[in-house]
Amino acid sequence: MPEAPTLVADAIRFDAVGKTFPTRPVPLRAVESVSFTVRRGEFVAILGPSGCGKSTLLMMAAGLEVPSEGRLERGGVELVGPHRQTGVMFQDATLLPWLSVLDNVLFPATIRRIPRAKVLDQAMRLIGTVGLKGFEGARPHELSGGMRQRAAICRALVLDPDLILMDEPFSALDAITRDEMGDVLLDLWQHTQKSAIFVTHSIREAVLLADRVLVMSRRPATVAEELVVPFPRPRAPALADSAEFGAVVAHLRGVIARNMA
Amino acid sequence: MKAALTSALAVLAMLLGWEALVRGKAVSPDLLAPPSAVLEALLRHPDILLDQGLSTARETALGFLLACLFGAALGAALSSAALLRRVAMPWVLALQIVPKMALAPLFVVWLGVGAPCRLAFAVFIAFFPVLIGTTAGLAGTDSGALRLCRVLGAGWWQTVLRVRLPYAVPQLLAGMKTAATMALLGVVIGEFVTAQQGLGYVVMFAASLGETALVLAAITLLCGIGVALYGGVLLLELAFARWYGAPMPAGEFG
Amino acid sequence: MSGATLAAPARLPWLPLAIGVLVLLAWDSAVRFAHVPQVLLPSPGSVASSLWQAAPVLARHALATGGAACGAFLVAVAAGMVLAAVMMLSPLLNRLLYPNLLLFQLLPKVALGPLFVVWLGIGLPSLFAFAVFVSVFPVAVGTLAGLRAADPNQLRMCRAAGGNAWQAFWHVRLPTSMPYVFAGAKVAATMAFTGATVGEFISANAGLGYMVMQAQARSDTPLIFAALAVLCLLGAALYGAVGLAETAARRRWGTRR
Ligand SMILES: Nc1ncnc2c1ncn2[C@@H]1O[C@H](COP(=O)(O)OP(=O)(O)OP(=O)(O)O)[C@@H](O)[C@H]1O
Ligand SMILES: [Mg+2]
Repeated sequence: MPEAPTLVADAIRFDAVGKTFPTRPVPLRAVESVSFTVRRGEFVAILGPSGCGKSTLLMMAAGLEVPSEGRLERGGVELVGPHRQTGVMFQDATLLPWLSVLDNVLFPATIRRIPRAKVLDQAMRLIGTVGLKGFEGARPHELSGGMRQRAAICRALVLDPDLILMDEPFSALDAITRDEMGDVLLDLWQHTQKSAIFVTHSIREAVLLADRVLVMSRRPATVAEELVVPFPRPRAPALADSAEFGAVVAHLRGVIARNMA
Repeated sequence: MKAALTSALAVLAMLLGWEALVRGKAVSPDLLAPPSAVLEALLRHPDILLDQGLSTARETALGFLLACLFGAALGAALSSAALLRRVAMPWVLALQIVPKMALAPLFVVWLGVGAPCRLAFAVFIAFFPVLIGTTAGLAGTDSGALRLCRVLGAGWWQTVLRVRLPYAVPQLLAGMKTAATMALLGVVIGEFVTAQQGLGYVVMFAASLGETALVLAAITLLCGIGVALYGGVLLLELAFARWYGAPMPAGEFG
Repeated sequence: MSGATLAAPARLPWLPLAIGVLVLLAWDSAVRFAHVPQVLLPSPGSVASSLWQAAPVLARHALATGGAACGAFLVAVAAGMVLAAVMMLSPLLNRLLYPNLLLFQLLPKVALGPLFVVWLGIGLPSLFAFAVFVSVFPVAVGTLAGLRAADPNQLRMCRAAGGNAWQAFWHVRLPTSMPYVFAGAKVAATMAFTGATVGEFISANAGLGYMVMQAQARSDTPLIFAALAVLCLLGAALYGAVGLAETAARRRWGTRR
């Protein structure tokens, strides 16, 4: 277990966080006083109009952008820069073309100077779970888009982080592969106690995966609505075909439409 | 393979046609020595040609190596320091525009007519492509990969070694290929203006005597040096490509 | 050329200009106070005065070199484009020539300069031919690469619309090749001046290269500097003209990079 100052410290806490980019001629207000909390083991999805500031929010959570005002807490401690126990996934896989799948998955260990032997088992297990067994030695250009994104999931999880940040990780994939990836992620999640923030444009993905969905307003982004997803875990991919699921999706769609107006 | 064979045949046909033209008195052998005469010249003056050829080869290889060293070092410096880049890059680009090879006499003024002059000039000519290849390569690193490094808390050295360098090497190699031809060019022009030794001097000297066979023999050797050096870089590129194991981004710096 | 850092600065580059002025001042004071011999490094002032005094002679020689180089450049661009077009339209010729063209890139073409003197004698014809010879290849290789860079979808579209090979060439291949042609032409611009000057180094009776060799024999370093400065200016001017033509062509045909 990593350092845990208080027993029930939240995974991450946004406290009136705002962000203004010093663009010219006028500065750009991207995020406006956002406050929310992701508890330990909680999966939070963020939905919102394009360009509203979701990526900016996530970049701040990753420690790559500094908030202009407000405060970010990670495990009860103020966040200043990238955190060792945070895994991040981006829209594209960004695998290094000259490394094999296995080496790409182990890349975080390489950078942190953790002996390979220590994480090899974990890496192989993850590779198996996402269905990449047999492709450990392949180079990224030999993989399909979906397979690359699977490798990226493994890379984000290989050091066993307690928080994962995902910025539209599947948006570059086709619809069928995308649903498939959602199922892979759901399956992975059932067995872990990780927290996650998941930015997406897909309402289905959000409802299937998340415990809670935050709907953002137009730019500057604020939390416009919050919805607790009423389905117990473990969930099966088939849940997405049920009528209740359809009702929740429809409700969320209404909320978003109201927000856009 | 088949393409190589076709073009090799074309070259052979051209050589034969050339020989026939000269033998058939359509072209005077004084103007254009036939391939057989060139071969004969190669065999007749092996000691002179070998001596001068070695001198040229040595200076070219050394010039090329120094150019790669300087070019890569300066390129890395320019890439890592934004201020330096803003100060120096416009000058580098300006130097690309002027006919640099015409500046050879300056090197004679400064360094005399010996090897240092030719060497310095070759380095001066050849290090630009390496410099540009290095800066372009280092600037061309995938921004996503850099973000990944920041997320993982990679240090400056780690980022350079594990990400920036592998992304930059293909462009660097492309620059080095150009530099290989440039280094030879620099030495030859240096030999023209210093008129002391080397195959360039042989070419000039033999041409002034109207010995076209010897001129072409020397040029053949020059080609050999050029192809050998270029081939060396090509081997390096091949070795890198094997390690890289993926399609490499192309770069060309003529 | 690629890379964000290589893009030409849109605004006037004040910083580099200031550094340039500083270097000039440092150069002047180095010569003045450190007593660098005039033969090694003439002061900017003496170069300027040499430039002024020799202006009429310089102008005459500059006209010779500039004329030869510009003429050779134009011929090389035309010939290079035609060569590339012929290779594009004739697969057989392409198969025969292309690998050799690439090999030719490796040949230190400038070394062939003395041969041109043997063939055509000392003077303008040999100089001109030599300058064309060294500058035609960048254009040919560039144009060929450009003609091959055409978007296969556009070509398919052209064929689907009933266009023949010639129309595909004219409407699709030629416009996409523009940036490549200009890249080749820019190299050719400097190579034309290089060819002309190196030709004059080897043997000539006029031109800036000839003048430099004469000045070198007399150890007249200020004149060498002055002549080379004029040469650089001319070379940069031709390069700039190609750049302007490129901008105009891009505006006219709207070809993007
Ligand atoms: N580094 C930056 N400098 C200036 N402006 C920025 C920067 N990063 C983002 N922005 C601006 O902030 C706003 C929010 O961007 P952001 O990428 O967070 O949106 P988003 O919600 O992720 O959009 P999308 O759904 O399309 O990914 C945009 O208007 C964008 O132009
Ligand atoms: Mg985004």
